[in-house]
Amino acid sequence: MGHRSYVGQSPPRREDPGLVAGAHRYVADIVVPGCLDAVFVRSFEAHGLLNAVDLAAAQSMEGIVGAYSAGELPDLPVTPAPPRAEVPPEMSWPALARDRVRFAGQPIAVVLAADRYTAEDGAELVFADIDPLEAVIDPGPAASDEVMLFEPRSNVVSVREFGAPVDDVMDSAPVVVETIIRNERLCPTSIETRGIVVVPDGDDITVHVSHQAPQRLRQSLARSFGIEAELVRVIVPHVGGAFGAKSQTYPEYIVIAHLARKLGRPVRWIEDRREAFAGATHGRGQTQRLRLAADREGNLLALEALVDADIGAYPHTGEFIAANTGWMLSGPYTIPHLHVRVRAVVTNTTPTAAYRGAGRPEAAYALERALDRLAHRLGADPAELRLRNFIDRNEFPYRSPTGAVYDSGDHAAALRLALERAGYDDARAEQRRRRTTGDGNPLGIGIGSYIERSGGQEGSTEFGSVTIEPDGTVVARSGATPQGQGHATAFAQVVASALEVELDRVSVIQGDTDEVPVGVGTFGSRSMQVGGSSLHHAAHDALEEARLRASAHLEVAEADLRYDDGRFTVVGTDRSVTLGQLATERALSAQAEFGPPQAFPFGTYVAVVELDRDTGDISLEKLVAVDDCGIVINPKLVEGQSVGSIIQGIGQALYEQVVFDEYGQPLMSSLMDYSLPTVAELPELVLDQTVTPNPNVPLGNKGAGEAGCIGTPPAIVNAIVDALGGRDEGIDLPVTPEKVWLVLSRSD
Amino acid sequence: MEVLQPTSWGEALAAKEEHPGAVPLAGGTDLLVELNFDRRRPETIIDLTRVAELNEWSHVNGGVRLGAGVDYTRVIAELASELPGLAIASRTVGSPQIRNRGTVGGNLGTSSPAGDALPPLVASGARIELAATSGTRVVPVEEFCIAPKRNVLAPDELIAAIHMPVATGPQQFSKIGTRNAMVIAVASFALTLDPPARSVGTGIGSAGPVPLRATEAERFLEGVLDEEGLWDSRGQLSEGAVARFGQLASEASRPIDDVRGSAAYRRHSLGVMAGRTLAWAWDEYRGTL
Amino acid sequence: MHLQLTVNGNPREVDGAWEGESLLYVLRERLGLPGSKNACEQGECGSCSVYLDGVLVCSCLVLAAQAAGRDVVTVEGLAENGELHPIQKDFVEAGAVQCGFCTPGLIVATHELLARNPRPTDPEIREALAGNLCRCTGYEKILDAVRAAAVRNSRA
Repeated sequence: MGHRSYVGQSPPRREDPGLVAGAHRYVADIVVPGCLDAVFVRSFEAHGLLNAVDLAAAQSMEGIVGAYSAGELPDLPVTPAPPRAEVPPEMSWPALARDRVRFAGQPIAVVLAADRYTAEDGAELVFADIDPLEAVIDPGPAASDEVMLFEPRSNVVSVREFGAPVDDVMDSAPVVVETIIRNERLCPTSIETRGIVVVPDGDDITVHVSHQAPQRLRQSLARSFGIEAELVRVIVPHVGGAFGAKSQTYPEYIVIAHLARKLGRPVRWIEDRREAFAGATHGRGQTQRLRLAADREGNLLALEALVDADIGAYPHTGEFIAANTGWMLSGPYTIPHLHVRVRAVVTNTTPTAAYRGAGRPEAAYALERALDRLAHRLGADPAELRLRNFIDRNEFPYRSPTGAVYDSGDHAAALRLALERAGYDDARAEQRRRRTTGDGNPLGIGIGSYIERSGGQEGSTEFGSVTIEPDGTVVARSGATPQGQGHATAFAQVVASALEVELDRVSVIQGDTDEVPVGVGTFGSRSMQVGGSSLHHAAHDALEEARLRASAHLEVAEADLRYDDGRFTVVGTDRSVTLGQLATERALSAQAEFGPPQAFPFGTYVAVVELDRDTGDISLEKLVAVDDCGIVINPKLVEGQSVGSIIQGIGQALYEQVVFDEYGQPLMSSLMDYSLPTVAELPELVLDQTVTPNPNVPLGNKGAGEAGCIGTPPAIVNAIVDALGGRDEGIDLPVTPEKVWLVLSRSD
Repeated sequence: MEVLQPTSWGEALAAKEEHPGAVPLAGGTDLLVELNFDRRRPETIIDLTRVAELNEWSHVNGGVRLGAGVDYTRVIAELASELPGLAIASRTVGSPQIRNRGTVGGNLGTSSPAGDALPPLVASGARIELAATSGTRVVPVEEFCIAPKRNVLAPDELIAAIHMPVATGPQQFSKIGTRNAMVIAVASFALTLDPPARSVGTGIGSAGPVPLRATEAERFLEGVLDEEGLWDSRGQLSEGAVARFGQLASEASRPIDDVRGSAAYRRHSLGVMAGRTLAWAWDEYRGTL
Repeated sequence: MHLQLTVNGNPREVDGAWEGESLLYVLRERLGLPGSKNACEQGECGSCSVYLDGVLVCSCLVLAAQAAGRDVVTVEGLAENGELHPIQKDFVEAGAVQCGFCTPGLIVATHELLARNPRPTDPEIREALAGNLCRCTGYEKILDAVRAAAVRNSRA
């Protein structure tokens, strides 16, 4: 038998039989005897002075075990700042509001009872005395500090700059287009909301939680409570989606863990959908002012972007996600001069954090819209304009003007393939025909080329270990904890391929800090690129160790050994030893914490839309997605990530938006108001790929989780604007029929 | 909290008389949301799902008497020929799960201006049968809803049934929303053509405090059809007439700006929907020659 | 409140339930059947879909008392003799599952669709599943799974 590799195959996902049967357990399904249910009382004001919290009625209600505000819990830690965010201590996020509330939905008190209904009734009896203050909702006005959230400190938390001012280039450039772009706020909206169960046992706590990064949460809880991390065990059961919004330590988690420790009783909190809209973190939320300069042939000369990121009431993960936007703003293009300034600004709204794409969709959308404006101004074909300015495939690794080092790419190839699959020339001909004859509804074709960035922060590692068991089975452990991506299957493919053993012999353990104490987590499209590479290295090291031992065991040189399917055989004999036998003699295991450079997946999306001339209704006729994420380990899983991400991109382009009124009241508090795409919104999708291997990891793969939501919105909106003949006034995200109608009605 | 579960209409009315503050419960698509989110903790709930009489429909006096507890799925499956406008509207309600539970009676009880069933009821001149132990009264649907989420139900009354004439001609319904499915109407429009009576009925949803009629549009179209003899000739309706009808329908609305859409867009889209439903209905009428 | 109902073919009794509880709550918290998921509590997501007397409903919108004496079938009741139902296998085969949280509701909704319409067209599938939100898969593979089931039914 030859070399056994599972790379490029799509074996069935291991968790699915249990999931389709409803047999697997999520955090809300875990039964802990005697567990109390917690319900939070949340601020109804977006901004105000919290004078008092009256808990008396709740405390005396039958069935209420306890009711607490910050006043009753003097030792309650603050919400810990996430790694890498710049959070000034005076702007820290209290786990329960003290003295001041800064967004509607902020936790003020918590009520405990034996069941949720009783706890909710108790929460109704809590009275918070709040003197309202003027609220500031938009980051632009907030940056002027007329209304301050943390006097005397400015609302501008941080300013990050990339490059240097380009005014002189702008002043002398033959063509400059300007545009103001709103990247709307989105609610990540995993179908499973947040949830946590904390079970104390003496000084130890066991935390069952719906989370992306259990090891990080463990460290964070231990630091918050001033205890050894060894006392904290975090177990992540099945997770019902996360999309970036389950990677933090939330105020609610601090409160629940604190109460469980204080009372010595298990406590759980399962978020309801209304809380998920107001109290969990949002994504996006940027106002971007772009100037793009070019010569008359369309060669880009300079880009300036002034970005105001609305990071909500407390600086948290959203603070550095805005920096990602700045970092990615030059996209796949050669732009000689660039200046980006990103201000992170607090407002009286729900704090922002990661949501799928986390900074990159904001960058790609702004740049691609500006490019189409430029194409329109020049009368150039938008595809030609992109081809003219792409980084040449021979220029990689390429250092972007913001300092990012792109590993590899062939952007022109992806774009050409996308045009071909979209029938671009035919669609343009049909568009010309309709425009000439006046027949039919307006047709538009839009392009979104993008560059992704996968792997998490530069140099960040992931833990992977591979242990050969005496029975010849293999246990792989990874710090990358899944939320539905299918890690267990894909990681087994990597390990089985490296060890050249049957796939079924490899099991994968994740998501329990007793089993995997070290790890970083699943976000930033990093699991396979970083975690998979670590497992590959660990498996490789384990095999080399086994080879060494086999050589000793069989008393021959390594060169005289043949390895096949878990067995070393002395060439030309029937003397052999298996991996299992070697592991019986002495534990056989290896581990790795590999930290490859970031990778830069890329691609081009093409959307074809038709507009209803009378109602402005938008019909997405076709969406072509050409992605390049390097070598694909499991095509079915990658396709699943791609389609799922694309539909989220469609949601951003056409349906989803978190809206606050001028007083900071959220106007979207349910799935009735916040329109997620349903199956009825799924367009005709054409998926294709180019393959440019990642030179920096052993398997040549790059991240594949986020591309769809990056490439899709600009492709769709560019198509809509194209159908409108380039008129884009008021065409903000999400583009509704009403916005389209307004443009159509102005011109008719 | 107490849940009463009458098994007959008489028991239900007696329960409502004894507990005037009791909240009636049918498919639960509104009330359960309020219970789940602790917005409401009524002392008494009267579960009407075991009252067989409410779940029946029948022919009465040449019309349909639709029990208030008949769900949308049954309206679609069983009444598409008798009440086509209501059946089309029912099909746009929520999802199969919602249509399996939600009822026309419940839609009336909630009296939301966005209730999908209400415009077809208005367009067809539905009359609502309200009952109490003391007796029964019948109220035109336009008089039933008096303000957003308010109606004329007395504390001891329950909605017994909806009386609607059997369709004698084409009926249409159109709705504009924020996505393709699971849509709360930004605006909706229902149209009923009654050729034997030479009359036109309209209903406007989500564009006023209550479901509205576009009376002037109705009169205008009736006039055109009469003057041009189109009821008999089944000839083509002029583009101008269709446009004018849409314009009058649009002018009959009293929309507000809200997060789902502006008043201006609601007004505009109503005009478009009125014109389109008329074109579809008239094509159908011409096709049935 | 005392409650008797049939769940997945078995007579079940519940004591001490509060009158305002939903059927979903009773299934999950009192009867040990957490397969039906709680994700919105307002009938918008379909994750809690079950059969009530043979009718597809959102169990979050059914007052538990309304289910008294009725017959309820949840996702846990679809497998036969420990063997996954063919529709469940279709979902696995098609790659229609990612995080799996919406999956039980989708399985029940698909089961109901195919019971009344064994060979649905694409528009019929879309109409039938529009009340089941999925945030992970983008629906394409779910459509594939239902199409596969329809093809299997046409062969049968």
